[in-house]
Amino acid sequence: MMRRESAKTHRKTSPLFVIVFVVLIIYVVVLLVPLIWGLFISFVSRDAYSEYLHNPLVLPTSYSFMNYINGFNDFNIKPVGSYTEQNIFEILGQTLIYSISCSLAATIVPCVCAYAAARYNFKFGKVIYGIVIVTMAIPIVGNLPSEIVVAQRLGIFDNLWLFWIMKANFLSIYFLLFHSIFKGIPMAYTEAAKIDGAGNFKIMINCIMPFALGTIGIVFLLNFINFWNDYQIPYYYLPSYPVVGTAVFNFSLHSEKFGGIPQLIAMIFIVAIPIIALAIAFNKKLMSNLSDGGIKE
Amino acid sequence: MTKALLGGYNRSNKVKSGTKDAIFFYALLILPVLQFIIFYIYVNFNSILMSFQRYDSTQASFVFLTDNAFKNFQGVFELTSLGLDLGRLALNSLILWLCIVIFGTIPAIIFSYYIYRKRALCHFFKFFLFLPSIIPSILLTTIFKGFMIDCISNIMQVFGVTFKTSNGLLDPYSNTAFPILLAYYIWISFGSQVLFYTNAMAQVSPSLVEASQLDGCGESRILLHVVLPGILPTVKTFIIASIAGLFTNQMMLFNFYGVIDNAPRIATIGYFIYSMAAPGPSNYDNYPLMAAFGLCCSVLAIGAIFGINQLFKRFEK
Repeated sequence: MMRRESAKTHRKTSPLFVIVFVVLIIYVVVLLVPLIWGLFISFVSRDAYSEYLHNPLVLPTSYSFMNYINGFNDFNIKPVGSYTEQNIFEILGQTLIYSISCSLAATIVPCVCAYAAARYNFKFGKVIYGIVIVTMAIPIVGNLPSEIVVAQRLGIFDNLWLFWIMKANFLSIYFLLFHSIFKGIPMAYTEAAKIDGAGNFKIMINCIMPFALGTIGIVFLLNFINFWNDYQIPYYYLPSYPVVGTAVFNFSLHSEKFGGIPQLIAMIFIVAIPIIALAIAFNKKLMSNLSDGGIKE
Repeated sequence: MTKALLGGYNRSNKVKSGTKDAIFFYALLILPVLQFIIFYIYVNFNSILMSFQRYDSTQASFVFLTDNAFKNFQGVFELTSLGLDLGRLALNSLILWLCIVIFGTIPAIIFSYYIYRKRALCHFFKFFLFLPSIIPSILLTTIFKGFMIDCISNIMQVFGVTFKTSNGLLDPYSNTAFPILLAYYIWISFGSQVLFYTNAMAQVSPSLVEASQLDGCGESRILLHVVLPGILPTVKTFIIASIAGLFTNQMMLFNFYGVIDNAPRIATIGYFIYSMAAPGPSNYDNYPLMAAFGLCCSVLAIGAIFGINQLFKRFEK
């Protein structure tokens, strides 16, 4: 204990680390200043904000929750081709359906495909692995129009309940992650389960998948955050089903209609709070080593 | 006799088990492979076909060009004559890519090394480096946009700086917007790189680092000669993956401005393609031209990837 402490205290202070420390402090400050400014501004009334614009060196002094209340009430959007507006609850519901279905598809499919490719000795498994590597290395540019047309032909375009099919692919870095985990689990587990009479499905669900459960959870969470925050894909593919991202994007393009910048920022905070809370709650898991699944040596 | 019978039983059991394995294996893969065939192979094949087609509004479908099959490709080269500064878009995309590689990768490696060596406040910094990946990008861009226009630009005006429009420093037609947006993009993009590099550094044998410390190596030498060679495959993967971004990265311009016409000072090729495919009344007419444009970019990107790969191989030798 004593030796450990003395080793710590005798750790040399490298000039490199001093410089990096200073740069990282600047990084945090530069990142936080606009966020704190935004948080302050979200509590400022429209009139006080106009005054502040005329005298930007003095921060407004009066704050209230009105922007949040008005923002909550004004959080309505008219989807493309519709005459009726959708309120915040409908938008949140659509966001949940979109985020959960797409996250499940984008997590389960690479996981199951990686399981098949890593645990079964068929040549086609190696082909699948090769496809993932090749498609990740070869960039395809400008296939968005074609993808939209194909989605329209298949009835997936503007279909909230079927859109997850487009995300159910195994061409992601998560396939490689799951593959390395499943490959690292000794085949003896599968053989022992087989001798005990377990079928292939039972072996997959009860014997092997539990080793990757932590990673599956993290990948699902990362995907969920990604899809919740996303507005571009729904903007293009789900025009009749605005999600919080598309709604906020529309508000940001027409902020004057919605009480100006203070109310706009308040509206964005309203829909960002759940995801920020989720990320803070799981921040240790999210930032841990993703490949920490499988068997520990 | 019994042995022979048992051997036969075992063999038939093995065959049965092999068939069951094969059935299960292909059952797991059939739907994902079907999805891959439709949404990767067919979509890209259709994109190639589309580059030889035009949109027929009377039939509401895409039909093959009969008079000049390469009309869309000609159109790509004629974009310049229509007033689009393709050279400027390419230059902006190239500057963006170079800045990501140089000012994004090098600091990310150094930050990761700091976290890997568990120096002061390393967990705190890791959290803040990853924070922009968690916060919705639209929230960050809206606040940053408001902050730059309503706060910084206004303060500058107090001190006598004048701006042509109310967008201040972020006026898309000014010279200030591009460098600011570029710096902002790099500033918030460290998260995933730091996460991957710290994971890669964790695989470097601690005994190697300890040995070099005992030999009297300073931290910068350990980073350069011990840790960096260990994470080079990860760095290579990031740089190669970023080449695709040369033609697809829109530097969050869509978040900041939505679709704006004729803003070559800030626009990148990725933004141009993206905004041309944006939902609108006449977007179908643009699709074949965009498909042809994308095909040209893909060919260039594949060439660039092979070039960079060869460069890395030489460097590794």
